[in-house]
Amino acid sequence: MAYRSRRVEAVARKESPGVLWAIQPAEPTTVRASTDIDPAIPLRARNGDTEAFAELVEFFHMRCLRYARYLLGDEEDAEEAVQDTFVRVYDHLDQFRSDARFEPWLFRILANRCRTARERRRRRESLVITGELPAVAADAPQPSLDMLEEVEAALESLPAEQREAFLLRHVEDLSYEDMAVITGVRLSALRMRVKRACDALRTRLQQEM
Amino acid sequence: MTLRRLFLISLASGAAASVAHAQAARLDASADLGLRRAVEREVVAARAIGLPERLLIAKANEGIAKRATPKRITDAVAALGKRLQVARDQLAPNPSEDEIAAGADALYVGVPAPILKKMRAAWPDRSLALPLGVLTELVAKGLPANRAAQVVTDLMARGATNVQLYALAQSVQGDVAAGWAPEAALDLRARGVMSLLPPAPAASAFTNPRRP
Amino acid sequence: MMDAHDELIERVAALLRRRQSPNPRLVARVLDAVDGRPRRWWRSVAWPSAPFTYAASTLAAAGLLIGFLSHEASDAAADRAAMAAPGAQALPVLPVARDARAAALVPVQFTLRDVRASQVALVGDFNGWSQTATLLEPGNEPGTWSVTVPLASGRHVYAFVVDGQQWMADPRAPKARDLDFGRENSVLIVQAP
Repeated sequence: MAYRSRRVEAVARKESPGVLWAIQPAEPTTVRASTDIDPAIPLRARNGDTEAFAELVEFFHMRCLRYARYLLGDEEDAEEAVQDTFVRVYDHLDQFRSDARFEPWLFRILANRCRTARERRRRRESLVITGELPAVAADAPQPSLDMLEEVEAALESLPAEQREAFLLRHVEDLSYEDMAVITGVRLSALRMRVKRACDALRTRLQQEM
Repeated sequence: MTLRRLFLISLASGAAASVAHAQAARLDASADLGLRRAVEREVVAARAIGLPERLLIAKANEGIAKRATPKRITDAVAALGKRLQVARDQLAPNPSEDEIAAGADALYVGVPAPILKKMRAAWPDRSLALPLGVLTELVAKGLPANRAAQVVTDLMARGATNVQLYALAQSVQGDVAAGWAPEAALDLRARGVMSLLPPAPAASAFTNPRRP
Repeated sequence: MMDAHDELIERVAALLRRRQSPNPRLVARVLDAVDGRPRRWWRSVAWPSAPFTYAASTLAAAGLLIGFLSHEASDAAADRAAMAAPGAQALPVLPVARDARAAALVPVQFTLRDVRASQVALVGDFNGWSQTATLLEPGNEPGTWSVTVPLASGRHVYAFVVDGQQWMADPRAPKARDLDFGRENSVLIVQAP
């Protein structure tokens, strides 16, 4: 893995001395541990164990916040969406099947909450009457930002569907099967969205200089 | 107490909620958190498919009483869970908890699963707890499973009672203790019980190539 | 099927992934929000020790799978579809007491001679191997201990635990090998006369 990173860095520096080389190499682990929680815990929560529910929130809230934050682009909206998500989980735990996996079930609720939040914000923004167009268009070149902000801006420039697919696949590391359950979208359409997202990100990030 | 305070307290004390259940046995208080969690996992899985969870807790308690390592205990509980499931399936429909437990014991000593099904076919409406126990004990004492199963199911099909099967087991046990070879003892005692039973009907449900 | 291998994307993803930090304020707000909320536990009550019939639970599982995969446009419906459990409540099946005599219990006396013991517990499959449930009582003659326990007909394994720590098989009973933990149990078959 270390060898691969070094080689890629060398290639990157040679071919496109732009943003690429500044990105830190990925963590040295190639085998990702399971991201789902111990299956006993949601079942205990379902059976009324309040500590188990608290454990669920503890375990997943960071990832949920991360996803919501990237999807919605706003910290406050993200927190509200995540809070709503867990309250819904609490209300509907009795319907969680004992042989199901908790992670996709949770992300389905989260994805829905985020979609609702986005709808709400769009409706809110469309009601604001502005005398003039926003000074800076969404994808106009920005002054130089730090790396993460660069990447986040690139992410935000994606259409919502592609952003959602990209986050679920590459940041949350979920399988396409799980994603289909979470979003209700066909596998082939999801693959297309992820591909388009990657192409767009690649283009944008390689352009930056 | 609010949920939040409970959450904070639980973080501090690391206590895990025990799986309390009206009928269930309780896990020994000396079980540490890791073991408790592992056992709860098995218990929850068993409960989800309707298996008697108290048997799993009992197995864990057995391990605790024997000072076994947590790993051995959780392995044993998991293995029992699988046996219970197989026993439940083979003894269908509607096996009682005692039957499931007895079936799991039989599997434990090496009785092949299909034999449980055969026994159920021989006695569809009577509890198999005792016959299974007899078979388990015979096999545990060294009798080949298929031979012992054949004898027991033949006796069952011919109308032997629980009391007679029990007497068979006791006698064989005594004979083996006195130095008899298990197979010889079984053969002899089975004949004894058979001689008390009504003759076999013309068409038997079980084929026995040894019988003329 | 894997996505095309892409170093840049991997790095972008790694970068994005790294940004996650705990937010205890949010956790506390969530827990406050659900505290005292009514829960609909009655819908998922686990019936105690009642074995589901195999057929019913398979059908229920199939029904759940179909419900789980369906997708509906509206928001609330989308959540509901994810959690759909149509008719999945397996009916509780009470254990069938085949043969009334088999259900009858037989009183069995367990005895032990141990002059040095100050406490003797009986542990076995009939009391969940609890070290506190069944203590033997001292007899008139010093060092004798006994207890009588009603047992269901069938095979039982058991042993004694002396003074809360010493595992002891019944010296007067046949042994049963213990493949799980390596310490022999005693075995006993019970049947009503």
